[in-house]
Amino acid sequence: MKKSLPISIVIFILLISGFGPSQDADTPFLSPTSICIDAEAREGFISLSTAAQIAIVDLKAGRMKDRIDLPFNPRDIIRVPDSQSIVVADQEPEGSVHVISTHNHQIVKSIRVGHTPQSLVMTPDKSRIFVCNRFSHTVSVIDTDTYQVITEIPVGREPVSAAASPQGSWIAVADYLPDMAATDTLVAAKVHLIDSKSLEPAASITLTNGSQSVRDLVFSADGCYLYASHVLSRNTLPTTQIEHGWINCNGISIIDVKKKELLTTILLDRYDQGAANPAGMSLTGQGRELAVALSGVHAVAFLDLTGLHDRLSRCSPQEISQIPYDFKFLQGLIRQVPTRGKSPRYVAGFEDQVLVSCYFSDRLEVFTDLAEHAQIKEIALGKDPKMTAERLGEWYFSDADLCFQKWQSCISCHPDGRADGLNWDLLNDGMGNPKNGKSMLYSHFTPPVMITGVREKAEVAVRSGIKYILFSEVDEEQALCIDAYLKSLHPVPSPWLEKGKLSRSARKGQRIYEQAGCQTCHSGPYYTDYLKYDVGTGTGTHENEKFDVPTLKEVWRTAPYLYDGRARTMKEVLTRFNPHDEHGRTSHLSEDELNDLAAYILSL
Amino acid sequence: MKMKSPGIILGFILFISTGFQTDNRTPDTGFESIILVERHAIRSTHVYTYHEEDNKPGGGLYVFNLKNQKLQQILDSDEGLVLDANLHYDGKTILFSWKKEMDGFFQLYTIDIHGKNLTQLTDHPSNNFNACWLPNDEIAFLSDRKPAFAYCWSTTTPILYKCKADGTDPIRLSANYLNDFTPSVMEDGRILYSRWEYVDRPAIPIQSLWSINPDGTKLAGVFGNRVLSPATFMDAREIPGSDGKILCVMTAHNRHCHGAIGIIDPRTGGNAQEAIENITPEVRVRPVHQGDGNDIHGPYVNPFPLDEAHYLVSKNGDIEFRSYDNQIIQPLITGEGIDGLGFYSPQPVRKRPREMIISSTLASGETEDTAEEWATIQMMNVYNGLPETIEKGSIKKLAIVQEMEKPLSISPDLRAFGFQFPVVSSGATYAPKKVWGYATVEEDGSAHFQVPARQPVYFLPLDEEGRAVQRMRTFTHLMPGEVQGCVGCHADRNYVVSAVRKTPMALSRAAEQLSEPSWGVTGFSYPHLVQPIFDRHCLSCHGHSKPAANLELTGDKTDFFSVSYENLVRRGTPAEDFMMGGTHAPFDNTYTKWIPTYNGQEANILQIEPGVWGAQAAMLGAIIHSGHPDQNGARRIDLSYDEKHIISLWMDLNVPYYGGSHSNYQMNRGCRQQIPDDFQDLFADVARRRCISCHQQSNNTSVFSYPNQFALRIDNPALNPVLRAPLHPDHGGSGACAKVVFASEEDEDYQKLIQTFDRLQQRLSLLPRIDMVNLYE
Repeated sequence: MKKSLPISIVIFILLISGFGPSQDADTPFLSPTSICIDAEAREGFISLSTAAQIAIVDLKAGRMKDRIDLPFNPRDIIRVPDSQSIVVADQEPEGSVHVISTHNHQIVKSIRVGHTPQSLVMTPDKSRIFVCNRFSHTVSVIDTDTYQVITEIPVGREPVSAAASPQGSWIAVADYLPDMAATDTLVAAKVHLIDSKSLEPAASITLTNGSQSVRDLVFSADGCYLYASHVLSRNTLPTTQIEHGWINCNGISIIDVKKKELLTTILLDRYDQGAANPAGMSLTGQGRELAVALSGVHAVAFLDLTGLHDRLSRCSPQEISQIPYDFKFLQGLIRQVPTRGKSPRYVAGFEDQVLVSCYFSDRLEVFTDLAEHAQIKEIALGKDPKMTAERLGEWYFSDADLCFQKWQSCISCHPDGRADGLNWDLLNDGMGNPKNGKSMLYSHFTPPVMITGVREKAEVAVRSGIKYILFSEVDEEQALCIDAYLKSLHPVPSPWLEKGKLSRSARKGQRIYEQAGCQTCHSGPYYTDYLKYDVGTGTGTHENEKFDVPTLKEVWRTAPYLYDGRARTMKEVLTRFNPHDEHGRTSHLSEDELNDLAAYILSL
Repeated sequence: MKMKSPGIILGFILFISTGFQTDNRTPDTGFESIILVERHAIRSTHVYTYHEEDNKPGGGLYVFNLKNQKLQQILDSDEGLVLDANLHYDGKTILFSWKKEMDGFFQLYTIDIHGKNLTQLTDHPSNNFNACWLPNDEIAFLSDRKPAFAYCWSTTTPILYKCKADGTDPIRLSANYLNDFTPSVMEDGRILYSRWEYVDRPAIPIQSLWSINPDGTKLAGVFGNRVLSPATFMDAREIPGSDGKILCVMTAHNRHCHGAIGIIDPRTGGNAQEAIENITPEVRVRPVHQGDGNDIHGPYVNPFPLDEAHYLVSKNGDIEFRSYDNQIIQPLITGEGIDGLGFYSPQPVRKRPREMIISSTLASGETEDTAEEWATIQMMNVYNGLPETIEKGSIKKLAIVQEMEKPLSISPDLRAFGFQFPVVSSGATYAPKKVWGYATVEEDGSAHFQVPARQPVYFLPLDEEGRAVQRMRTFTHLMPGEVQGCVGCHADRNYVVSAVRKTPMALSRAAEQLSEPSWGVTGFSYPHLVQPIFDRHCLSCHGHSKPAANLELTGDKTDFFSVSYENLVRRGTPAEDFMMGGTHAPFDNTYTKWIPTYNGQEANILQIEPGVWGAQAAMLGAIIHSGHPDQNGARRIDLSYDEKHIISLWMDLNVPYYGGSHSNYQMNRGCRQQIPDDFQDLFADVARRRCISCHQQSNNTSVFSYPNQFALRIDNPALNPVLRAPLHPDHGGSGACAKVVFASEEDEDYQKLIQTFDRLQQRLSLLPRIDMVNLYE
């Protein structure tokens, strides 16, 4: 995972004390993520997601006993029926899952699935594995007898988590982000229920308005409820303040599986302190508790499920409807235990313990004595190299300690440095004119920034973000690290590419791109000329206003489109929202030509 | 530097008491020494007067070594008084308040723990004290440099300021018109402090906990703004690692600052009984909904939370190391008791982490007094927190009201109608009210409007007829340029705003400038705003002569107010009789439904249901809005919207009579009362000679000894019952006296009495009472 650094970053790294070039510059950071525990709870497999390794931990002895070197950076791991092997997702654009022998650590078989397979889940009868292909927006189903893909099921947008119901009836898959136009009245990620036998989608359940960055799904022990952890954005409000969850709250949506509908969303925050960026979850205590990694605040929350459902059962429908706004609802039912490492993202409960992996740590944490004050033991998984500015920047970008009252971090609205799909009413261009969140990819190389170009360059926006969105004093060293991190972002190859190359349709579209005049403004290496234009998209107070020409790199990933996110698809940008050919000459194009043009743009 | 006599040092002597676990080990405090203030206990008359009352010289600043029991003096204050001290994050620099000479003021100083580098930070002719370090090395402190005084007492009302570490650039953070107390900093960077207030509430029970950002923005209630007991939460500090719990003194109002020690968990609810844990249970603190909070008599002060389990505290000058569960109670050093020198403000000598630094979103320089004095409120949904009975869409406007501060110090001996001096109302609102204007409430309940910055303001939601739907009875303040969102009216702070489907309508437009009231932005004066409406519409029936329903609504001035005010507000209530102090007697004024603020009426702070007080509940409100129909249903009056609104607003402002605190008669009772010279002596003489045979005993403590008259009319004095009742009916007497006393106006005593009013009127024509001056011209 060695990356070449722009010279300015290298100079910066040299300048800041303690962060000189690493003595072991080739040593990657470990970034432990997914955890898999074998059925007998003897071994744990931990993905070292930036080190192309899986650590094998002896759970009884409390130490790492081995590691598996891989030709890819692993994500989810599951133990397959024969117990002689594991199945691992590789997160690659030309994605596969790999069957790996636990004896000789060799890849026994690789099964081609979709773009960026991350989450895996196996049916309780161990007959099928479901693979979430994040950027194909599909789920691949693998037969464990043959290790063949049976089918690929389309879901919503960026499925990154899945769960199997204990009885095996349902596979639940969560979209990471909303897939609506941002101007819709309900903009939220969805959770899909798939019949594990028929493989038919049974329901798509839209979460509470503003739900995004859905990071994990867990069924209750009896299979009656499904829990989804996510950020709950209050993006219908201007970002004038952060107190009382005014910008982002953090919660768990509860789905009534039998009714296939959303019951409510509970808030993990307290009225004066956020629980930023809930991530991995796991049942503990024989299913009586739910452990939730609070990745932004470096803690694990333990939620009393028995008490929760007892409390819910005593609520009237009116009271249930108010729960998504009630910071007090979980009072007495939830406790937080701080982790030692930074950014806990995965938890795995077994027996009376919980394993916790923290992304910016080279150790696995084992929480014991959960009933009392949790004790923490640590298991070394290797050794991280010295922190670099980029790595520190990635940490700060995800760290709610930088935020007043820990409500959110930068990733709460910019997951993975990209955009959350929501409209936000920031105050840098007046109020009452919400705009669609922007990806940070290449923002440092494509000034000015913000949709209105109101910030001269991304460095200014980073510091304004800390001051006006995190409401904390800017620490220049931290801001420089965030700059370094954002500059280091690389585009993910488009899922529209075929074997890394433009499809036939996209090649046709490339010519139309020129003919339609797109390249006049969307030109150069970043597909922008760094200027502002009025292309007839402004409405209301923005009528006749000029907007910054955004980069088109990775535009396949940043829907919805236009400054207010009114266009759900690229094709809508080219047609419905370009009636007068002001935003490229597209009105004369045939349906096929429009499809070709969209295919090209979405391949960038 | 000198060593203290070891005679007073007892340190580490175990306090053994039944029920407490004994432990004779040296406490593992995690530090070697503590800083201490030595001074006399300040037994002030009230919790808010400690900066002025019972200040005695003596003592100083010390470092006490727990191991070797040495008490090392670092500042000698034989001639002055060190009030308090706070150690810097560096564990070396002490910030303290010192009245260096007893005829001077408290000023802020720093000194290092070795007694070197004494530096005076403030040098302003005002008291500057109760200072704490802010994480950016600025200092938050209290100052009474802005001239304001307690409405119900004579002392100054110090409020929250901040300044640079060297004392320069003072900036006022608070717009309280009463006292702020004892700031400290919470882990998230907010300043935690206490404030006293009584917007249309009795004065005793509300000294509650608040937070504010170090730039003066985002004022928010933390706990106790609607509890009866304890009256006071002060000396508050967040307990480290406790998830936001607060250690504080819980005490009375009419007493000095020593009391019980409580742990408050604000997350349990803003006024919840369960949120309060009295960890000194030997000091009785009543439940939150009982009493007036004034009966707490405890010895504890200056609690300092050390960690999740332990704290330091001064117990009438003895310093103790204690655990919250009382398993450990160890005296560290004892003083001379409450009557002698003792020790206060204990803090460990150690470095400590800085709290979070909250960014200021105010434009640079806007915290200066010279900046434009406006801020913006974004109200998401005014119905949020109001009961379902209030129909959505029924609230049309918000009135933005300021509590006007009292700029002069008057002797409490001159009090009237409870503790009003100057009198503003007859025991209703203490403060004159200024309406800054009106903001539009959209159909969805949202509003977006400008408010004057740095003023204590509150909001009245008005229905389409201009009546208040709910009362706020507290105030907020904003800094210039601040934008603050609020969830709604009376919304629980444990709720996030529920505007999840749609951006509130008012937020899609610019902040509205307030539409000013027709009379201008100045104090609301009853005689100039309400009385003219009665004059235009009501006097044909409710005039001097045989007023309908015996309700005269003329504007004839009385000794304190006017006849219509006396009849609509005072009559039929304990305020007829009562002029000084408090009363527990029930008030139920049918005409105007005002909120009594007399001491003894504390329980009404819990009556927060909409429609209980003011225009919506009052008979006068019903009459003006119904058109006062006769038996056939025909309207007898037809008031314009403005006229109806002004009368309603007056009731919803809690019936202020005077539009300001200024007075040309500061030495009179209540700074207002006009009784002709000699009248009382003359009347007593006449009464003794000519009335006593019938009027055998007094049941009236207000003005006169015998006759049953609660106000004295100074315009048209012949209409006073004391003159009309004894007068022969043929000469205009009312016949109320069983026998004629004055055969005609020619009666010598009658003439003597009536002529005293002529002299009064002559004086008032030269030096009018302020209700006789038109404020709006």
